[in-house]
Amino acid sequence: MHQLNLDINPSDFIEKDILELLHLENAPEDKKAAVIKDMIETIQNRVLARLLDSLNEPEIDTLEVMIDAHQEENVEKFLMQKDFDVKKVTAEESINYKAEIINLVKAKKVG
Amino acid sequence: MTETEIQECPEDNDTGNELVCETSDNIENQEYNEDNSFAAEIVKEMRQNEEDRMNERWKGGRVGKINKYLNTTRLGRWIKTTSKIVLGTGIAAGAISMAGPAALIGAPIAYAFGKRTVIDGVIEGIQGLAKGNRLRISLEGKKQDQILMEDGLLGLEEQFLNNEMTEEEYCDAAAELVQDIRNTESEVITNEKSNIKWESGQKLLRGIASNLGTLALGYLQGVPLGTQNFDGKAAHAVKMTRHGFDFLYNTNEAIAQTTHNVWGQAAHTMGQAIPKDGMIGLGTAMTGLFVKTASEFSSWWKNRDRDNSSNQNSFSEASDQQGEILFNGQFPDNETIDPKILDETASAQTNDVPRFQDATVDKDNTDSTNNEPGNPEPETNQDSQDDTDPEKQPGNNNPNDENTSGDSAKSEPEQKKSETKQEPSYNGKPFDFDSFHIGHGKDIDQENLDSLINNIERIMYNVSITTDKLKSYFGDIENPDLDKLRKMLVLPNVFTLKMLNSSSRKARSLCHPDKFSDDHKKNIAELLSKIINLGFVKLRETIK
Repeated sequence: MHQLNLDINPSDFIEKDILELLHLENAPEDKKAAVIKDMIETIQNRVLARLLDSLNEPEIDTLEVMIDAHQEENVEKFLMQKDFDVKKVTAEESINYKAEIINLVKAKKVG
Repeated sequence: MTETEIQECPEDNDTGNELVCETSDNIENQEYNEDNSFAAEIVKEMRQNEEDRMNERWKGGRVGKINKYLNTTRLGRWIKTTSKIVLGTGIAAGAISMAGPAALIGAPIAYAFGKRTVIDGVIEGIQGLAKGNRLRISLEGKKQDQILMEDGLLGLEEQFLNNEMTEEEYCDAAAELVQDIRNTESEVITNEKSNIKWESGQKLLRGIASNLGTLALGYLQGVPLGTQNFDGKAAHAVKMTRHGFDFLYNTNEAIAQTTHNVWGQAAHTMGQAIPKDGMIGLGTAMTGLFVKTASEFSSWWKNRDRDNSSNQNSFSEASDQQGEILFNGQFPDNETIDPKILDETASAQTNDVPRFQDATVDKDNTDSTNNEPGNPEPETNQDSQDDTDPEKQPGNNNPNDENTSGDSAKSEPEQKKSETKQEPSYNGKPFDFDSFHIGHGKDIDQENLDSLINNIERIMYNVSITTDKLKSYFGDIENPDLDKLRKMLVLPNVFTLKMLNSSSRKARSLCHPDKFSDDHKKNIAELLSKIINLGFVKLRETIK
């Protein structure tokens, strides 16, 4: 069985929120909001990177054109046609990010 | 250090200086705040670095533009919500704060949804880190190598143009680099195949595991039922656990409860006061989840051998086809996907994979109604406009095409013959350039892209077309008819350089001579590529 390389209890990993795991639960609200915003932006960028990687140049152009024209439904349809499941990719990237940031903060502290 | 961490001490009597007292509380706070800013800094730094790298990789403000779009749309909200759930700050955590009778139905569903996503994500994350990610990282590396090599080629060209190297040196270096690029490309394709194959096998198991995981976690830790007031006192958050129904209290209430000892607690964990509606809501939510999981598991269990073999077959078939990846929508859990979407997806696989198989042409086969690869259905149904104009249908003069009115006109054996035929066949009907798919003329979008692909494939996969016919249609090859070229590339009357670039690049990729082994098709492909290349230069000049 594959093991997730984590220094924390897996059930904590699932149950506790990221702020708790990074000991930021008592931080001021604005600080917490800023951290969450940074995290979500990072995840969004990673999802975007996966999307752009999965498309070829003309497809990216097509997507850009639809975005410029604010064709929200067409964009969603287009992604579906390209078999790009936003929710699935976001879940994958989020979980990877969660594990990565916990390990990174821990490693930096030790280092 | 912030002001709140420093407590001022009374003035030192001897010196009159203010002293800063390092109490144990202060030290703890100080550690907390350093901890706090340390983690926050890493989070911030990571975001900044990754953003910079992305902007560098995809130039032209693409990343910023798409991000901006995501911030204002449903798609972006999905990303935000899903990441919040997985990070643990979303619906699952919020379910407990839902209030009133609606929460009895809504909260368990929200809980199940939130937890399921988390568990699904965790399992996927574990699998991803263990194997999928390795594949992905290796794939990323290869892609990066390829990009660098392509950049290298541009660099060589520049050196050559600047007379920094001789023609011979340039040719040698470029040939070597092109070979490297080809090798890397084939490695990327191989890696992609391996990645897709592996991922498809994991998908259903993940779905089942996460549903079961939700039930298990719910059982062990309790399913939140929102905020209820079953005991007639102040409203409390309620959870159903394996011990019964628990009321959650804030600290003061918990202390009070403890002082009431066993009686107090017992009174609050029995849950007899739960109204019928609540029980139904809870039961429905949990039963639905359980039934869904059980049926998925049972159908997976029954079909696991068949799924495995069909997966293997589909992928091995795919590997045999020009070294390309074909997705046929046969993932084991495709019952959760709208079949209509799957059909669309399969037919829209335009990524350099011809949607019409390069069929072996039986020139003696004269009974087929389906003459062109772009028309899998009888042409009479495809293009009614052309049907009404016999002059536009040179094929109609062919006595072999008498049956174009449809299958009903066929004799039974012939019908059976055409039904069992898997691949489109071409009976040598003359190619009709006027039957080019015309785009809607607005911009590049999926519809126009599909039309472009159709047009090129119609030429490439029709046996009646010859180089002479192609030449006569486009006129002077060195100076091709721009209107006809524009029609083939599905360009609107007014188009941008970007649009022209994209369309011609896509068209060239579809008729690249290296894609074809048949000499006849190779010749057509070479000629068509030449027409597109030369026409591109002319069309570019027309852009103001």
